[in-house]
Amino acid sequence: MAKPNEYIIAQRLSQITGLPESTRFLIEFDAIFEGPLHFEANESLWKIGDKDGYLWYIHEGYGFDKMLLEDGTKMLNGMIEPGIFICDESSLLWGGKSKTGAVMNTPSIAYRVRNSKWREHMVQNESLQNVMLNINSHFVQMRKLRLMKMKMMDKLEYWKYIQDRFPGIENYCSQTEIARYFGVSKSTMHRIVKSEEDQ
Amino acid sequence: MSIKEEVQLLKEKLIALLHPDDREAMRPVDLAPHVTELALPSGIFSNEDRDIHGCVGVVLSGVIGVKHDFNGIDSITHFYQKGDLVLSIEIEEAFNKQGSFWQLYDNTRILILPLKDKLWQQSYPHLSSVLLVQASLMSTYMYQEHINNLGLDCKYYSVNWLKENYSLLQKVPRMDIANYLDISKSSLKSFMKIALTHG
Repeated sequence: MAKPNEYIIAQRLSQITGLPESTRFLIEFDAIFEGPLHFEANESLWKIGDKDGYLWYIHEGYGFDKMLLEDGTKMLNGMIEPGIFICDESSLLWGGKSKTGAVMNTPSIAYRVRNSKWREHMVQNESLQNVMLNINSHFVQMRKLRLMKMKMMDKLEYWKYIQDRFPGIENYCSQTEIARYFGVSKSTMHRIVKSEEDQ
Repeated sequence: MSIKEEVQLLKEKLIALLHPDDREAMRPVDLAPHVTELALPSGIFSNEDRDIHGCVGVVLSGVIGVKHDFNGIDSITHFYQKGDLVLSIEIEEAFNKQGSFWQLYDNTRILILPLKDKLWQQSYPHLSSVLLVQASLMSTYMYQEHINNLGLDCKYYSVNWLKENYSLLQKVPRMDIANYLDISKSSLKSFMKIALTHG
């Protein structure tokens, strides 16, 4: 039998929740994931329009996920980093084609489970469901904070914060995609970048 | 609307919330014994006065603004009006670092289904489980939608929103509308003129 420290996903959930790594429903959840899957730099985890949706766990590597907005432009959605679970949320909720895409910009290792399998497992397992509800509630807070920052935080300060968190972001995302992330126009973003360079 | 129609409205919202694979199971359900109507006076809704933990509901009448505290300043991220689905998770105390609350601009009626109610869970174990999962996923997805809206061109989004929600201007102070759209009061005035001319 594999040692507990081989259960990568159970380990991560144990870190997040404080539950022991050997908790049965965490181990069972771990077992439904495929992997490890290896990615070269600039390979996609999934693309906009993909029919088969997966929930991904990122063990190693960095990237970005982007989404198509209703006006046809792309927006930077977020950073992909080790230790996170990520997916196309619309597909996870209602099936259908993916509205987002995700690219790993460095060599990466990931695990994945098909959305349908995840749903089936989650609905049948009440203990895991409670863990997911708590994690999601925390995630709602993170989204609220992101929304607040977009609306209220000084944009230059926010840009510096993002650069500290995602070094080299400008090498992987266009200025328009970054501008959308900040909720500003491309010209305002250009001014923000320039004023930061001038300082 | 009759009580029967109000319950049907909530049912339709829940069907839309469910994954397509689970929708058929909802159609024969008699929701009436499991729902409660909240009649709330205008002002700030406090979770302490009425416990709506783990609820999903539909607005029957009134207008609700969702406000949050960011470094001591109120920020509005969205509104609910008649027919909108509401999820209590965004104002529940356990996960509410942003001090989010509902500002009721009018006397408001909401029809709610307590997802953790024992009778509901015993009567419909599978549905109660899938609804809990979907409501949790939806609460995070909903905030992503608000984030996406801020990523759109500000004038484009504001004018379109004003066209679709012009009736809100009779009930919500201009300051709150401007705060929501993340624009100045003078921009709001100018966008309202455009919306009215081309709406």
